[in-house]
Amino acid sequence: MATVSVENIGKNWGEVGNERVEALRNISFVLESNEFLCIIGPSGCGKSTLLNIIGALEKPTEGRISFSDIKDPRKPLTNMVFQEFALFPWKNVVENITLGLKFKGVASHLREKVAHDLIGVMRLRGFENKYPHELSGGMKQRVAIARALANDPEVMLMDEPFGSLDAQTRIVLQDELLRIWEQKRMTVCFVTHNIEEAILLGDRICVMTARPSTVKATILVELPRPRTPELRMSAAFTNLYRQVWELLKEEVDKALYEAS
Amino acid sequence: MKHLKNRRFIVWSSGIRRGISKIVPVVAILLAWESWVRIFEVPAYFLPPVSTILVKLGQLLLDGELIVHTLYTIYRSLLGIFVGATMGVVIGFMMAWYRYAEEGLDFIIAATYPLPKVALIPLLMVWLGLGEAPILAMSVMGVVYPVIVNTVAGAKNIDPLLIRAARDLGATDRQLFREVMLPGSLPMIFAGLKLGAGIAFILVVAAEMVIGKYGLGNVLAEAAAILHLDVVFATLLELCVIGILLFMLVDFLERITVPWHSKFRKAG
Repeated sequence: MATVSVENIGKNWGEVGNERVEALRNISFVLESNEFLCIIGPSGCGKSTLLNIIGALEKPTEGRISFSDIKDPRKPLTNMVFQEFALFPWKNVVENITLGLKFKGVASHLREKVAHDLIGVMRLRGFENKYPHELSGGMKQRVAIARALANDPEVMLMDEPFGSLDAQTRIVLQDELLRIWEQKRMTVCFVTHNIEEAILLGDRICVMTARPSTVKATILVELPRPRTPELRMSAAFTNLYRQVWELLKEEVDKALYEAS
Repeated sequence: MKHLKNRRFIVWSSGIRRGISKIVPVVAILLAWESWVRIFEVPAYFLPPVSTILVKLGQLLLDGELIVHTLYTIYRSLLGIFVGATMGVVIGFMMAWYRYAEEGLDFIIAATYPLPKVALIPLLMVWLGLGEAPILAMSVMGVVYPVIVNTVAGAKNIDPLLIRAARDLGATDRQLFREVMLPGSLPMIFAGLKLGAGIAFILVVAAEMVIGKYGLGNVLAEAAAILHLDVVFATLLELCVIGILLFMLVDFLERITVPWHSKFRKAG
């Protein structure tokens, strides 16, 4: 599991009309090995852009991303779980999960084995041969998470993965993600706009400002693990919630004001 | 269990009901035709009775000669569809993938697509002679255009998120094409192929009416020239049947190649 250094990242979206849109400005933080880091910020602040830059799906205008402490250079550096699942409609559950391995040239019986294990972990038993259109949102996101896990990246990037799920499914999947993380202790960078989610999952929370986004504050979440959904009702949780919201409130206002 | 059985019966009987409502108008028209011709003694060189046409079709088929013509027409259509579809998919993906290919070819295709292809028959006869070549060329032309246009549209309509996801999973250009671009474009390609197969069939028959010694188009033109309208109608009937079978064949190919498409939603 690698350590990721995000150094002075800036991103401009060229010229839109007469205005130069500056999405990210001078962002720096370190994602520690085996850490679960949540990034939270108002809508449209460029959280997803930042994640895409870390995942090398987009180029920053300024700054750089560097990976250190890489244990196994054959592993991919990052893999992404997208909010809209991004499953391939022409591939069934097993084929979707193992596509990254297929790209890498892993033999089909080895792929089957990995898929078999992950289908157990993600509770997808019985859905092996279903196509994405036959699955519910929660099931689709389970497949997408399994697909990223199959690739076994140094760092797992999650871009509001539960953002399009209903509130109850979201709770169940958060709980499952916690369970998997307890087992695997991967390095995770998790983008969300949900305060509860950030506190429940993260070791640290990076609060971003409205555009142009910078890191406003980093909050340490000192809640004991393993965590459960019931943690939400505790006083410590509520305190953290208040703390994050105090930081975020102003930025949400600014983002809304900008947009209107 | 009992209501399951009832349900099946309802489905079954509604299938029959739909079948009947399709057949009834056809039978009514044929009966009206038959009686009209008999009652008013319409001459057979103008409109032969249905019964005569059916008997004639039976004779021609038993005779074996019509079978040869039929096989020619089918063979020319299928070969043209195969070659045209292959060319169309290759050219279409080149245009979707390489910007200069699209810029270079877009105008040429836009300019020649609306041209009525039958207008090219005389030219093709001069260039390619009076054998198989000009007929096959017509057949290919019928398919290639709709397949090109639909392949380009299909490839460009693939959700960009899926392309990012494939890149994120480590796809090379080649893998991206094989696992994402090609399967993602197949539904549109098949839509083009269905359209093109029909056009190719039309163009083959049209070319056969002018060129060559074999083919249903040829039978049609020669019979009409000597007012053997029973043969003309028998051939038309056969062309209808072949047209339907051709469509069913492409539909079948689509169903085995794109099984996930039935309820495909972009939200995948």
